[in-house]
Amino acid sequence: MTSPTSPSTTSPSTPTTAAPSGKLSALTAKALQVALAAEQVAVWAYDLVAAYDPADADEIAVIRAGHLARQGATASLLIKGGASAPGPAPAYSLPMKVTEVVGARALSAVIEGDCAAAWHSVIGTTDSGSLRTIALAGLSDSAVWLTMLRIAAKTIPATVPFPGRG
Amino acid sequence: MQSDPRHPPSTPLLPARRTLVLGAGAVALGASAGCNPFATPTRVTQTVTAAAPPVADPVPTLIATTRLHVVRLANAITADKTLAARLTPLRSDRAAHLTALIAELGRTSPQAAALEKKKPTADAGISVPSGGSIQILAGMRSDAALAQGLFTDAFGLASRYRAALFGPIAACLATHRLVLA
Repeated sequence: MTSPTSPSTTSPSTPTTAAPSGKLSALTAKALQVALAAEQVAVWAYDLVAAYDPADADEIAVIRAGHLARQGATASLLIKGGASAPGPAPAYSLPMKVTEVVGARALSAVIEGDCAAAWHSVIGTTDSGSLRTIALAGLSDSAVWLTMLRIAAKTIPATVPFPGRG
Repeated sequence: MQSDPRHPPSTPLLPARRTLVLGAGAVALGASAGCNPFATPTRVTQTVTAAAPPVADPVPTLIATTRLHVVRLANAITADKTLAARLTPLRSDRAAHLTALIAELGRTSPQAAALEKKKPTADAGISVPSGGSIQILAGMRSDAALAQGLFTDAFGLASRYRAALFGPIAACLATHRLVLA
């Protein structure tokens, strides 16, 4: 993870699979599978967001790449921990219709909110320091990416006090 | 009866030899068993098991830091009104963190939490960087980075419940650094 005193803000933390050795508990594995699914949705949905939000293309490219890396790292983590890592679906149903930039930005907020919530749940399932670090990196990256997009969209406030907590 | 001077008297000497051999054997046995006949009896070996000191609760420190940063954000807004739109939401976030931390303290120490609730979140005497908006923003960014480090450190060692509180606060502080960049 990034250094506690100088954590990254804009660039995503490099996802790692340096997980605790041994088998994952059923609770932790389930939470990680939910996080994996959220990352898979994010990778898929940001293609759609990019199509309707060309003004934020640079930010969206960075964010999508971050989710893609974390998706791979999470799948590896699950497999190393003796759990299954289901692959992504061919497509997903969206919670809203996206036909213009406002809808695209709203979708990105939902995506990052879901990812943050999923990683927050992982934190609550484990005492492993390394696994907590991985989960906090996922939570922090989603919070920062959502803030990046809110700043770009001039949304006020750009931040939330407790990312991932409902 | 007269003894023959050519032969030493045998019978009277036998007990003395035995006594000498037995005495030497006893000393040797005692020495091999760790007993020193010349040692003073005041030296006593004791095995003491020292208990580890109790782990300090990080919440009071986190509360103090958060309260200080709430005050500094408020004073920064007062010092430079042009930063109000940028800093006011951050102050609201930090005030929410303070409330949550005091509530968490109240779970284990209601009296300490009650005292914390009474403490002010305004203090004009606490300074903010002077020299203009850039310096003020740099100071607030430094505060956010410091706090993020504190919460990240506490996060790793906390209970699951507390980790689920400290983690989102650390993540929020990462977003504050972005806003203040």
